[in-house]
Amino acid sequence: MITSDLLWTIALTVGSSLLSTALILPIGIPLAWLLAKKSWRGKSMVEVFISLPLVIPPVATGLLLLKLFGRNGWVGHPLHLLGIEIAFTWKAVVVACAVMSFPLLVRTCRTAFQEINPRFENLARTLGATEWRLFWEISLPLAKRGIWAGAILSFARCLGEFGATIMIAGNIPGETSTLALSIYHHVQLGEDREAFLLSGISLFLAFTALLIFEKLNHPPQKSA
Amino acid sequence: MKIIFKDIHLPLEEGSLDLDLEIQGERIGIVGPSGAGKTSFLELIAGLRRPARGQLFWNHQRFIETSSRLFIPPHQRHIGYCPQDALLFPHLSVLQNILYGTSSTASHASIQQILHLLEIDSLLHRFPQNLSGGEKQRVSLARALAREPQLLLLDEPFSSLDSDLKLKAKDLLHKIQTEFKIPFFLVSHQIEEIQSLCDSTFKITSGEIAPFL
Repeated sequence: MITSDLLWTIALTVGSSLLSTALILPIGIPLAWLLAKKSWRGKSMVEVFISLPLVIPPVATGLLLLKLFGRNGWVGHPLHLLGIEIAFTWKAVVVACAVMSFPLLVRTCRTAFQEINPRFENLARTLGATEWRLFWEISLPLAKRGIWAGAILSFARCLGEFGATIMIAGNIPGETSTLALSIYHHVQLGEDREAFLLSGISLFLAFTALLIFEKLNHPPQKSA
Repeated sequence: MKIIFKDIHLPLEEGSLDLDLEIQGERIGIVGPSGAGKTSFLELIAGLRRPARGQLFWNHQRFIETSSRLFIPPHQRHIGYCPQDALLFPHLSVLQNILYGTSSTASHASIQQILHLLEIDSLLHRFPQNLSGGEKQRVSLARALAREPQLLLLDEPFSSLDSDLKLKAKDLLHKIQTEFKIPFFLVSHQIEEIQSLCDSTFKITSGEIAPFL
């Protein structure tokens, strides 16, 4: 029942989800802080742009990514000249996951930063803290729980990513075939047993990740 | 210590604070009813609030001049601020809270002196959630003093203390003034507290500040 293909599929799905989450954290966290704590020109436009992958069809996002990262794309072409291929490789799975989960990370982290009492930050300023120090030493530790929650939510979103991935990465067994793509593939072939097994694994992984998210996002209330 | 407010207009949540006066002295008391703008007044001096217009000078140094968009940010003012609720950073230990505003060249001896004076030597490795109200206030004061400020802003520092601790805290404030020679603004809504500790007192009412006679 447990074949090397199945193990590869699980490893690819979990690995690409972890990697994409790790890649978006250093961009998403400072951006979320800027959105939560600062006023700047173009902020609304950036917020809308970030949220777009949440509302447009994932296949449309995948199509745009394919145009961008394909051999003739703005990003793909220079990379191709350097000998790096993105489209239809495991790297494309990571790119699709990163783009699709980015809005969730930013929105969760932004809420976490907004929930910090601004008086802590003001007090740190009177103690000589620059904005850089404030971010690292006050805002980040105080929002730690929300940031972890955002990272786990992004990871969980990646586990189920389908639409954008199939467009930019295709469904190549042993290369880009994630759990979601494999389920679809088995259903197409009428292999219900395999499809249900993979669905069960997906369910278990997503349930565990969301359980951790809930624990972090809604810590148990201390009794008085 | 001399602080000059010139045609300052500071909008508040309810009403505004309009200031046009000069304050001189080492121990200045500010009284007024709740919601009169006492905390906003301190926050204006600390640089945590920007007025809609006006100028603010401190010992001939310009802190605010709205006409030329000059605004010295709080981290460059060297002013120690102790808010009413102490506001210790919950993720830092007492020692880390106290050292937060100090530079790497801060005098170890002067920090020891502060810890000893405020009797908090034994609390250093505890976290704010494990401190009493009085202990939090003393740590907050130590944190402000450790930065070696040129001015202290004390916002109702005795409000969470019982009467015994209040007496002790007043004595402490006297000692701080004697030993560190740092001028302070002390805000309270209790005139008796102010009169026993300050050499001049001002009252904030209806958005204005005037000497309290």
